[in-house]
Amino acid sequence: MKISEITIKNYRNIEGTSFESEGTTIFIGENNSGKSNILRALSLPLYSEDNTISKHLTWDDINSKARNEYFKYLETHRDQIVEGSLLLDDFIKSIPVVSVEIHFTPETDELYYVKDIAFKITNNNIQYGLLYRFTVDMPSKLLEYVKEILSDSSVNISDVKRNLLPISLYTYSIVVPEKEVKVAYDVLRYFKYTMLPAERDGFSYDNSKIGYKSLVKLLESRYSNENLVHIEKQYQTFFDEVKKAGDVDSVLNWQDYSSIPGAKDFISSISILPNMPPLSTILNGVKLGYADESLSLQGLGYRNLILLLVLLNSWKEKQCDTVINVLIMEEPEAHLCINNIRLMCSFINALTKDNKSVQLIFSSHSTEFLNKHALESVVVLDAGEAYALSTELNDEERNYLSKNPNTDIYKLFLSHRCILVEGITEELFIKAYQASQSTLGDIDVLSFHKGFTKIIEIWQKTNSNCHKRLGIVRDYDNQPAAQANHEKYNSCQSILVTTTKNYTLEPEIVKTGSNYTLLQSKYGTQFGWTGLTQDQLSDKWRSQKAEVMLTISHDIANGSLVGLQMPAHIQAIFDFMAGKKDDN
Amino acid sequence: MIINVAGAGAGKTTGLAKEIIEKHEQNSSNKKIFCVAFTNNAVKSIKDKLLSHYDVIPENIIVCTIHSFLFQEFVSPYYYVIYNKHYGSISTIELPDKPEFKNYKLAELDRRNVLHIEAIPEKAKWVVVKKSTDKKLQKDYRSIVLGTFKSYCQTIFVDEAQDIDGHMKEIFEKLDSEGIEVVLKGDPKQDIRGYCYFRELINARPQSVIYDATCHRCPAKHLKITNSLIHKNERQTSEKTGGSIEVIFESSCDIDTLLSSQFDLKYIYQKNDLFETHSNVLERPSRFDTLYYEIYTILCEIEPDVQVREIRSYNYTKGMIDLYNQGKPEKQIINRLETHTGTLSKQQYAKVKDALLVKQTTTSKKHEVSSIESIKGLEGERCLFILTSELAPYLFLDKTAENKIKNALYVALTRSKEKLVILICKEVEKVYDQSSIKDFFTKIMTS
Repeated sequence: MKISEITIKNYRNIEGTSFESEGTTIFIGENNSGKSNILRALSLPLYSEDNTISKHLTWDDINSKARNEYFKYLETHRDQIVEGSLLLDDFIKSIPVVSVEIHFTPETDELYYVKDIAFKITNNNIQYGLLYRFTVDMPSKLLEYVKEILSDSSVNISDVKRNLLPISLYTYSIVVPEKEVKVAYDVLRYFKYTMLPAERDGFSYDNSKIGYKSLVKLLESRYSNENLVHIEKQYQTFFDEVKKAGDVDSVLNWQDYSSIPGAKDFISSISILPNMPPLSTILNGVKLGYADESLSLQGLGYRNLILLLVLLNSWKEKQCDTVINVLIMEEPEAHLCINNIRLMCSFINALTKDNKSVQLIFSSHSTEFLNKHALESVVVLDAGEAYALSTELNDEERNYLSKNPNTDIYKLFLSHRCILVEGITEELFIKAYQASQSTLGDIDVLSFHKGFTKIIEIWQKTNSNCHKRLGIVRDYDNQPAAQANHEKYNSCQSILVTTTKNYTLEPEIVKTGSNYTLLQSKYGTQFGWTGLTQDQLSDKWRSQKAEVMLTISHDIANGSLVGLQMPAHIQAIFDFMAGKKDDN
Repeated sequence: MIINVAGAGAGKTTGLAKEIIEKHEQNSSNKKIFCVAFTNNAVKSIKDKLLSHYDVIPENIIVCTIHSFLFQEFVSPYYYVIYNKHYGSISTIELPDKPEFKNYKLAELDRRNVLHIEAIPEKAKWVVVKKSTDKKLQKDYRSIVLGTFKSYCQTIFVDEAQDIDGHMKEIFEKLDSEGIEVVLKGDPKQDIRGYCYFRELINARPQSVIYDATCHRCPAKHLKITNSLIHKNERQTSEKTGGSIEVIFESSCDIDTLLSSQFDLKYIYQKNDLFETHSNVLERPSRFDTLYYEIYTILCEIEPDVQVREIRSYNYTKGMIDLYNQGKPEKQIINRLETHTGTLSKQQYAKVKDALLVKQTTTSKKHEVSSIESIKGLEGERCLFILTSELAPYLFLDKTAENKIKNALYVALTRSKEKLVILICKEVEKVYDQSSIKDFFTKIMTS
């Protein structure tokens, strides 16, 4: 079974987002974009063996904007509340509710287990889902309470926020969407998640640490009844040894050894009996090692690798009491070297291929995990908003991205400031200039070949928030129509497209300011530019290609070509990146 | 559809368990095998039989009562999908006998999304078969639901199929027509509620009927009487020799002595002046549930918060029952309720009072025996059958119609593994005199 759709409302920085998913899902996004929050939110409607994440939320888990709207509502309706004339139904609508709804697409042989979460039929398919909701279940109590507080006219709403929205009145429930029926524990336990948060360095060290219970459970599942009988016999032997070694008998049965007359008349025989702990308790005394050493002595990367491999292995055999096991991981690449990242990648791919009940959902900053042939599994996060490439882009657009030779495409979705250029010469030149400056370090320069409009469309879809900027440096190539076609995107506040006045970049550099004189005096003999006119120099440079640009770029970067002026169209992009946009 | 007709004592439960196990072993997929029975006791005995074969009943064998089956498999998952309405809970409160009051109460529950246990088969039928008001959309949805059900259902076994009602009959016929394997096991002769639906199915599909004529319970001697009553297809044979039948006349015996002697089962068709029966078939809903329901109904108008309403209803009900148990007069108890709810309307008052005073089993000075209905499926070494004037004409072959009275007679005669004592009531003797009754039995026994 796979998760097909996810909708999250009012959870932490996620105000409201909805996206589709198809099997393995990878969240990418910059720090603070909400990756961990989405991963945590996903766990809320699901069941967990070790309750890694509490389903009872805290005040801060409620989206702050939703809270503020509630307080604004109280402010504007204060009189009605105090008078008691506010309708309860209206008040209920103003109370912030955190919700996470997950829809599933089951396999045919799983239909029995999902029947209780069926809620509607669309396109001849029964829809299945779980809806987690954190809300005030006795709104009349809340209203009464709010009224009591606000009746004191000296009370300022912003001073008593926590009292006006007391978390103690909140409860969570997991229901079937639309049908609004509480999901019974017996049903919910078919829908599991296992969470591997980013902080997992203490893995398997003791039973409070992450992954420990999974490890114990994995070990436990391997014992047959026969083995268990054998263990009990061995335990008895072990226990007898303990009793003998400690001379326990003489301590307990003092009457046998006592000199007090008649002691035996009162007490005949006290014994201690084995109280064999359940297997899981015995296994709790186990810790992972590597060869003879404790795992904690291994390097951080190695520890992580072993942790992930052990956990992933524990799902290899299909568990009959589970229909879906959502494995939620934060940054599986954490602390791993590139070879181990690749090992992990292939392992993850093999696992999800073999086991239909495991669904992987993870966040990553590593391009290794971004399989270019599976862009539909990528969800881009930006300020609490999720954009699934499966729905945001159509097949053609995804294919366009997949076909692009640049492996750094994910930067397109992540970087704050991104400049797209037409080829390697532009990339070298701009990067060199960037390196020579001390303040422009966070700009990514990516080279693409032609056809920027498509990539602009894609970028717009996944970056609707205006704090990000996309700059595009293009050549004129004697194509005024293409220029107009690209520059129309300049109406978007976060995009700037500039074009050379001349045919390409080289003549543009040569014809800017006093660059012609500078270039000729510095490189005239080296590149055979002595005595050439501006146009001749430009043409020669163009025909000389990358070698020359590399040398010049080196010199720009290390400061030995002082005074070279940036062409206007590039300068405009840098100004734009620094926050200035000319609205002409 | 496979219909298996097996008379009393044929070892239906054992046979059923065996068939389930065989089916499970053949079943390579993970599809479900459902086995539905009519009472919790029957469910338990089937489970016991399965547990003598398995350590734990396998996950894909589901044994449950028919009401639970219909609710869990059809109403609860799919009623909402087709009709956009969900029943959040099931009520077992006492329903009025009069149809119009009963329907009113059912509608009231329905509005509150509560399904009464008696209404489950009808709602399940709406999911599986049809509802008269269905539009095309509902029909399309139904076929998707049935396709889904079929994808995980291997076989449905129905135990004591003579107890199926009209809705259930339509459900199983529909499932059968969808290509789902349905195996009905039962005995139309034990249809003591007189539904006749199982008989109808047998008559309509003679080619699917398999008869099992062996009786492992009763001695051959006992079967002589029952075989004289029933259709030749269904006559039974027994390997058991020995056993005895004793006929005793109320007019010439001491009832107290007779009843105090050792019998495993004592039963009568219906209670009468002399004998009291207690119905074990349906447990009475408790006073608590019935009263809670009425108080909840009243609070619906007063308390908007569902949670608070539930808590208040619970507290008031508990308080009132405590007072009732302390022997406080009902007027005082209801007045106490009114301090919380305000004055009740006449109707509300009456309903609360009825619920508070709902009849509980009373003790009387009459002799306590079981009703035939309640001992269906049970057996004993020594059984006492009290023959009253309803059953007598069927026994003496004056009446031969197939109906619930005759079925009850069949059940009564097939409980004993060894000794069957038939007590002839005075009222019977008035119609059939002692000597002709004695002649009747002698003739049958020597035939």
